Amino acid sequence: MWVERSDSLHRDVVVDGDRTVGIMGGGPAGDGHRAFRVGIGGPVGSGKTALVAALCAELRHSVSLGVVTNDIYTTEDADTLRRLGVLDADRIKAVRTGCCPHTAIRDDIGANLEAVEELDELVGPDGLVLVESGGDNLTATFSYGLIDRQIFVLDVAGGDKVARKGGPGVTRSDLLVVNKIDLAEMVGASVELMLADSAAVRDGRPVIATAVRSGEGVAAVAEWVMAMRDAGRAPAPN
Amino acid sequence: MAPLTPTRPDGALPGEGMASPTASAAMMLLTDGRFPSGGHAYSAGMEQAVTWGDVSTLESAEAFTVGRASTVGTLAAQVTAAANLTVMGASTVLEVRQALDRLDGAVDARTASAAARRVSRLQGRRWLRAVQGTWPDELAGQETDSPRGWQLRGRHGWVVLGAATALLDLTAEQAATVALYELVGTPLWAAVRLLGLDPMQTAAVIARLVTRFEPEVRAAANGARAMPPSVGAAFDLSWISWSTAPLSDLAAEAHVGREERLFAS
Repeated sequence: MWVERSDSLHRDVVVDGDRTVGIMGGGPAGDGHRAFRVGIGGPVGSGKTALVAALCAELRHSVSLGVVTNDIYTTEDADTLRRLGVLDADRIKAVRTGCCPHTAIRDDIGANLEAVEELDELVGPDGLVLVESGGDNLTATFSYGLIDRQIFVLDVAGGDKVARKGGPGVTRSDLLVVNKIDLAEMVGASVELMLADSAAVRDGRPVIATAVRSGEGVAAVAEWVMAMRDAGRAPAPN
Repeated sequence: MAPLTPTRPDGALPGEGMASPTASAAMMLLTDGRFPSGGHAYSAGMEQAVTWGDVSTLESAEAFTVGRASTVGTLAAQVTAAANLTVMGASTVLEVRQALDRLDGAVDARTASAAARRVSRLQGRRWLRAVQGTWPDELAGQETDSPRGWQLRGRHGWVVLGAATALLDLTAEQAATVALYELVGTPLWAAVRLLGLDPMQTAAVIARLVTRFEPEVRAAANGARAMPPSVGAAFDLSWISWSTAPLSDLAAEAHVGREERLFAS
């Protein structure tokens, strides 16, 4: 498979032989059209907003940033990010999802595309846009028509069986983050077991253990994000 | 630019002969709740009506929707049909743009709520994005975006829908049916989520209402068809309904100011 051309909407059309196998939405990263986009999904309370805030704090001096939040009911997550002052308020946009956070990031991505495209103008083509999903379940993953790479956030406090349960978020996300490892002992969960279960179903894709509140592991996640951005900016293979 | 004349010289009513393959696929997709045109995040005033206590059951949800379909629904069907036939019949880009300008203004003039007007234009953007992404070849070369073209981006949803459906070979009746289905289905499907209504009973209501308002759809298409072929500044809009739904406008204004809400409208 390779990127054949940009269509009228500045999207990469990916073909395999004569067959179109995918359209990467909104304009290809790395050719000067738009910023690199990373989706951050995971269950309610696993630490998505905390990770977004920590990544912003970690990266804001090295890359131009924007954030889209997908709050289910309020603008709580966007408000939290604004309150924390991790970014200028105009670089944080909230999308309403009509009861269905997974629909807004996977099946019907128009509202999120509009939000990231608005941010593109502020962030610039070399920048990074983080799209945080509303808290959902283990099957909620992003469409690659919206983002370039996705992170799925689990937490130890949800029980160490969660990774074993699998689901697309655990098995297919580009990076799996196992958060709140500092709570493992208190909830009787095994971080080692979660990491081993995750590795067993992820076909070599990376897993990073974090305790975002104390900052543990955040630098590793930030490093992965920037590596993905840099790789995404490389010229498409011919 | 490519010729404006559609591939299917129409006037045929639904059920007469076979629709073109493009039109059949487009009709199915445009009315499919999974078609990514953003409808899932809208309640068309239902969320506010539930908050106010006006809607709490399937019966009251149906009554709410009948109210909208009887008023705003007529406008939706007429504007969509008129935009469809404008694109079918106009001979220059300028004619199309001027006619769409007039239709856009007609929707503005009949929508008192600024919030509702904004939502309608957002819906236009979503329709345009979804249609362009789904049928890039059919929309290619039609100058839908360029400043000297039709300038579809930023227009009201029904105007965009009408223009786009013409390029997809849909008749004015079919275009108006899509608009009415959207208008009926959006609040009722939102009510399923808001109130936990039985989805099959709700589907039955939608089927009944789309059937009930079919004569209005047909009348809208006929009204649009009676427009003079020459458009532009002389474009006659006197036949477009002035019937509006003030409570919907009030609901839109109340809803947009709320902090806690699930839907975008």
